[in-house]
Amino acid sequence: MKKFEDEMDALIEDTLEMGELTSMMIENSVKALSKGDTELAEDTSNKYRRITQLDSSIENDALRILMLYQPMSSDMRVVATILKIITYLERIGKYSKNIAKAAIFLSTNPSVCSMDGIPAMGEIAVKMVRDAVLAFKNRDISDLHDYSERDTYLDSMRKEVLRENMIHIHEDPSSVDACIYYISVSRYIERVGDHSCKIAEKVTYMVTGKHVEID
Amino acid sequence: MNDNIIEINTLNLWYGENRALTDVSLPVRKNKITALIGPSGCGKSTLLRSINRMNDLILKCKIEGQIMYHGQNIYDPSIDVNSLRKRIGMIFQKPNPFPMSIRDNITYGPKIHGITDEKELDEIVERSLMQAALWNEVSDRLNQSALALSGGQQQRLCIARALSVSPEVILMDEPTSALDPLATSKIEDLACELEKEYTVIIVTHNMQQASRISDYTGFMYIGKMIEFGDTESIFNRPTENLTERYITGRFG
Repeated sequence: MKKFEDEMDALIEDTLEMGELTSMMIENSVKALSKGDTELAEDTSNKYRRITQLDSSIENDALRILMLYQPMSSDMRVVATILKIITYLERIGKYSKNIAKAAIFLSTNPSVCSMDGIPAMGEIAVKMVRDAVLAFKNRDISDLHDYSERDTYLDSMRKEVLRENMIHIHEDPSSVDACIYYISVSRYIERVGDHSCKIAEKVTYMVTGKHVEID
Repeated sequence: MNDNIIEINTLNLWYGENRALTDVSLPVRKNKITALIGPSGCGKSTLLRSINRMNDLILKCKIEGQIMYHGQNIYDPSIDVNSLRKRIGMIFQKPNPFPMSIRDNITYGPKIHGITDEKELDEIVERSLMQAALWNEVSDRLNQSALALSGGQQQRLCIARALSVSPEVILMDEPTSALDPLATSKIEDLACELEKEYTVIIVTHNMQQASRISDYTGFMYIGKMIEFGDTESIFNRPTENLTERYITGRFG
């Protein structure tokens, strides 16, 4: 039992490291983009390697626990939740890396086109990732009740960014490269929101044992 | 519609001064598998034995409450215990075949209940061994001693013996704890097959087994039924903290 509990604690600890690292990556990638900070962008992009390491080591450890201990009830829900959320966290890490790469491109290709909305979208998405990871950590889902609204808000902001950039491309075709990057970034952030909703769903299952769907 | 074949109502049982069951109530659904789990000494085997009055054999055993079976309390003085045990059979932890041939093990019960026609007995032997998934392994040596069979085969023979008198309910008291994993898996498959025609109540220490094969699970602790519900809920999200602690192995 002691061995099982030690292995579970280590698994949860690793998942929290992955969650915190991912939260930091999305936050810093958006910050690097807003400030044109290429050093921060490079640094953020490089963190993705650790994410992939954690993704595979956590998966191995979780499967090992299932095989050796056949956990039940709340223990089973924790392992099942971890197996799901590491995939979402890995995706968020990948999007953060993509945003960091976009930040590097945009810093050397200054454009007059508007990136209004992207920092605000980033702020919401970062909060969604952080709240979901915190809910997992504290096994407390009280901050997850409004994910549907937050996600809807991100969707509408993404459409706004898309429309503005399309207008800009028409007005100034030379800005097309930069605009495509902005459109992509808005899409990445919106997907980060989607993945956060999935994490929120799984954490809700972990805490309550009930499956919920966040549209 | 009430699908309960057995309803246990506030059953209390004492062995001398020791109270073994306290206010236990349990519905048993027809054609379903009900598992009883709980730590050693929690009363699950006692409860199981109460269902076909095996506790009658124990001195100083006192029982209060009701076990309703087909609308009749089985502890009613008018109940014939032998015919009750014909309807409610039992499989024990250790295979206990009679020291006689495979065929005689199966025909023993039906003969006691008055069947003498050899052809009919042959049919019962074949049907019972088929249902217990043993026929293919022993059909060519029915007259050999049952004691020559492996442990897993002996346990399936005991199940065939229980089936030979066409019971309605089969009680299993840790039927696989003395068997290897392969034999265990065969008995589990068998329990799931039997569910179509019989009602099964199984006591097990193996929680994976309970979660794999049962439809309903009751968790007992110190003579009380702490929680009863459908197996998936009990093993995924029990409502009682005690159940949660027991099935996740954090007990004491």
